[in-house]
Amino acid sequence: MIYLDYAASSPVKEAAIKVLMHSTVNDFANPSSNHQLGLDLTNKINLIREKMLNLLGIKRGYRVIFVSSATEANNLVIRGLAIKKGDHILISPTDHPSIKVPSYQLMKDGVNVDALEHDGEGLIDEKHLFAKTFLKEKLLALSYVNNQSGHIFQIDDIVKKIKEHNKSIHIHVDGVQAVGKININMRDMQIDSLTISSHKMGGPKGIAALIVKENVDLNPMILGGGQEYSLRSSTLAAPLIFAFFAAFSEAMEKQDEFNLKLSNLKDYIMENLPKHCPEVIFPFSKAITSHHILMMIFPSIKSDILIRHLEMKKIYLSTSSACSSKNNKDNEVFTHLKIKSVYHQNVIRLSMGDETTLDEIQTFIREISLIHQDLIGIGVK
Amino acid sequence: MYKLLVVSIDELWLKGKNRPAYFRAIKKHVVDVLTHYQDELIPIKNEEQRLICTSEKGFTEEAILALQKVPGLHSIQPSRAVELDLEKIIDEVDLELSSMSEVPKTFKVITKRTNKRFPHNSMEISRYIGHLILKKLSKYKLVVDVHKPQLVVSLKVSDQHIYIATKTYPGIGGQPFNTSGHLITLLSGGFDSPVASFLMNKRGCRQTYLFFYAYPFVGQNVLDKILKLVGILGQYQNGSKLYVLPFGEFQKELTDHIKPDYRTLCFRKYMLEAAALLKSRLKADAIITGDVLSQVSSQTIGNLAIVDQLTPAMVLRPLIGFNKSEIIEISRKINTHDISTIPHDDACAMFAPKHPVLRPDPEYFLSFAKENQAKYEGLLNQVLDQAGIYQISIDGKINQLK
Repeated sequence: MIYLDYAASSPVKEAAIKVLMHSTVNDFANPSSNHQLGLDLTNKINLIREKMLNLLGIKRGYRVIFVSSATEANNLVIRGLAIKKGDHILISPTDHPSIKVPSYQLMKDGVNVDALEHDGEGLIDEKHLFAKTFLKEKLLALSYVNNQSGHIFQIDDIVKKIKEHNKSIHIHVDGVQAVGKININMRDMQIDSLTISSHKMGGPKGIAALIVKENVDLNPMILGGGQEYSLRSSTLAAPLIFAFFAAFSEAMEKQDEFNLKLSNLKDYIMENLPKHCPEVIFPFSKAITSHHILMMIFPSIKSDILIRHLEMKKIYLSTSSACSSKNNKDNEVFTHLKIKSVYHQNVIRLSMGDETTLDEIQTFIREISLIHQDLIGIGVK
Repeated sequence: MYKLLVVSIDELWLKGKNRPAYFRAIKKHVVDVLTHYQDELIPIKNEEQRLICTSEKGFTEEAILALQKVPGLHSIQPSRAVELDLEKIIDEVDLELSSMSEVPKTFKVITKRTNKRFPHNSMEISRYIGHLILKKLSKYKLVVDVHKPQLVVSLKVSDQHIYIATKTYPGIGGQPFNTSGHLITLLSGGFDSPVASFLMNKRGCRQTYLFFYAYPFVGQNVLDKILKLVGILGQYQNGSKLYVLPFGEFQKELTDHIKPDYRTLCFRKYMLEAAALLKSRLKADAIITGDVLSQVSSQTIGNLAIVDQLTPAMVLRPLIGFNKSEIIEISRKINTHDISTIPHDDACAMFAPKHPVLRPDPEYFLSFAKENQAKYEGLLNQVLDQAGIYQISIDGKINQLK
């Protein structure tokens, strides 16, 4: 099997599995219990919160809220901030549904949802953005790295400029595809909250974290025992948290090594795939995208047909085009990333992780080229 | 809830000496449906052309709706029974009316009398009961309307009872299940084939569904549609099966060897060939398709004729003379419409030439078929060996067997 869909989810790292198994057996107590077992777990979890903040370059002023998924973390911010009728919020139409859908929900309550514009390269159009005064804006929610194209958006730059206009605007960054993959130092950034997810970095599913400034007021969505500073009641899943941290710390530690390796693999694909399959288009340059995500367009063959033929060879990649080639609606994300609508059904996302090897990439190039040639030969439309 | 159902049978009067066999077939289907939905033993009595079903618990709406799908039934009436005494009817009508959320304004009485020894004829009974309703149940302020009544009080006078009903659920009519042969039904995700299948349900055919799954050219979404469709169609059967044939590689193989403008015709020919092979394996009788004359290029008379000439089985095409709007209307009635409209990949369209052949050259096509007969029959048998098989239960639930 060749797995090239790391941006969707990644295999669980050995270190995380070990921690998870050990902790599931031993850490059965409720961290909220008043006895020693509970207190020990609480202390251990609090220590992990501190370590996580340290690894992200944060010294003080932030909290780590453990939640069940990145979707929950994004919802907690977007729906939990006191955003009222008439307020404005800013999001990117290229973003993940966990940001767009709760924002559109606010729209029903009379909140104005403004869309960020993207330029010809798919980056955020700063000229358009800074034509705004940001006086009424209550929130900017944006992914650091786009989950489909891999674009690294100009967060640092944008945040600084926006905060110059309006200090009180809440900046929420979804770092799911960024943390552990590209260098992020929260110390210099003025962002108010950040989402990170365990299963995107080799940890188990069912656990994620919201890193949020201590002075931010959020309305909790889940009420009960008052865990997580009363922002998210639920018994803390200690074994998941420990396993998450094991994966997170390994990812942060090996980030440079990982980046170098994936940079080389990306170069290899971009150089060699066109030799075998000249029609392939890489719509976005390597310089503006994360090394782990590579978007490809095959103009002659629909992506879902290619994906299924690869699947038969046990090579797994994603396509985000419509589920059916008869569904001719444009893809909103692709439109805003400035991908021509004739190509919307021809986009494939390849995403790599630390276990991806050159051998796998070579096999992928060989197989997709053969399949592509074959399909063109029989004239599949 | 009603504890009594009077189920009337359609077309039984057409039958002569084979009447008991037809009666048994339909009774078995009714028993199976009611036992499934009621989860209790349902005593069923034959009364002339009717089945009288009784339930301890009372019949659920779900069970009645399921009976409406049993081929061969004319109608289902949740009823009350009284002895052979006209005076006892009025209290039951009162009970009926008092349980209605909205009391109708107009009514009429219709009587059917199979008990010819009963001293009054149908007209007399109707008139008398109508009169009693006006007089004794004046609190409901009903008036008679024989043309367009809001309420029909239906009376059935049998040898031992009078049955009173105010609501009639129409059945789909036709012939009982499994009395008109076993057919292989070709299904695609479109409008036509499910409607064709439905029509043959009415004619009492047992059906085994066949789907050509052109993976990896089409995706799982098409198979999901087919499973939804057989979930609906299977409710007209008393247990049926779906065969899913992996057809992508075979279609690709054909594409490599046939002239481009003959591709679609060729797919058709070999789909029918595969259906004929399955028919032989299952000892079935014929094949059903949703073909409509001249609807698309592969359905021209020339193309249908040449394919028929090469198909070693009888092909039934119940929709051959239907217009699209008529087909869509039926699809709405049987609830397949909304599934058929879900967009799906179509492998035939994917491979389709710009200009498909309309008047095929018999010499080329027949010789292609003849030369490749052994090779493709072998491949089709392999495809059949690899088929996925699904069991569809009486309530449309699907279980993958293989």
